[in-house]
Amino acid sequence: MSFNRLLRDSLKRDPTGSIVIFSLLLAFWLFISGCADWQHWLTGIPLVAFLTIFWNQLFSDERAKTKITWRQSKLFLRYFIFLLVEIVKANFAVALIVLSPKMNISPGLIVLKVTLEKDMPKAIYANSITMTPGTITVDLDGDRMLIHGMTREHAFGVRSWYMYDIMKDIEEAGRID
Amino acid sequence: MLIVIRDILVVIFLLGGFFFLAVGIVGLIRLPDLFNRLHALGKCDTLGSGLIILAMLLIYPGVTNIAKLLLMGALMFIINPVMTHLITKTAYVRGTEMVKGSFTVSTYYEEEGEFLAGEGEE
Repeated sequence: MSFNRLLRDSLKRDPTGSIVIFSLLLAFWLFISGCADWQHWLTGIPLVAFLTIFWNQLFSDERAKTKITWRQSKLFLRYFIFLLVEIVKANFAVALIVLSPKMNISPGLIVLKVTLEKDMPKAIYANSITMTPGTITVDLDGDRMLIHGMTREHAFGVRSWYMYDIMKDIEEAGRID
Repeated sequence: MLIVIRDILVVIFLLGGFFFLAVGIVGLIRLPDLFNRLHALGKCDTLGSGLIILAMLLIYPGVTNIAKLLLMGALMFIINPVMTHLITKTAYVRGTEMVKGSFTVSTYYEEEGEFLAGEGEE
């Protein structure tokens, strides 16, 4: 039967991945439904198993798997906390500019070189630029990043931003292993 | 006593959220061009709705509510910058005019670690 073969293939392809995704989805289902009586288990487990098998068929590429080391996740936690602080600072900066009687803006575009290699750190870094003081990532093409700044200081400040160094560290930590 | 402190915190977070959302709208009206308006909207919405979700987390107990609210916060955190980026990119590609006096500088070919003191052609 073809379903059996599907199951066997997907389990053979990536057993640990299947188990991780299965437990994540099941935990999600139990959190959202809010109670864990036998009806919920009965509905949840078959559906989650079906989704897991389906997922394995969709993403069967070995090279696309993300590997996260322990050091990387610690660094990323640090990055995230700094990001929250930066977001609060960004909002106060924007509020100051918007609410002052004459708005001191000197907007413009700046092109930067970003030497991050992997796509994921690049995307996260671009998003954090968008969320922080007076800068928006307009375009990202290879290692070329186009940024719109609200004032000249904000736009030029991105070049020597300390978050970039943390992101470089995260990438370095991934490369050793 | 604990409930009073919690309620005060909730009020502070809610008012902060409303303040930042209001700043976003004021920015939308006051700022001169599309890119600058998105600065106000894209940033203030993140913190505004984040603070409101934080206030909700304090009032509503229960695992389900907390899980749903955290999920909402995470989605807001991801969707907001991505949509801001998409709108600006579309506007840039279509050649939307920027406000008069905007500068355009490229620091792409500059050596890494060498920072000019903020000059550039207008």
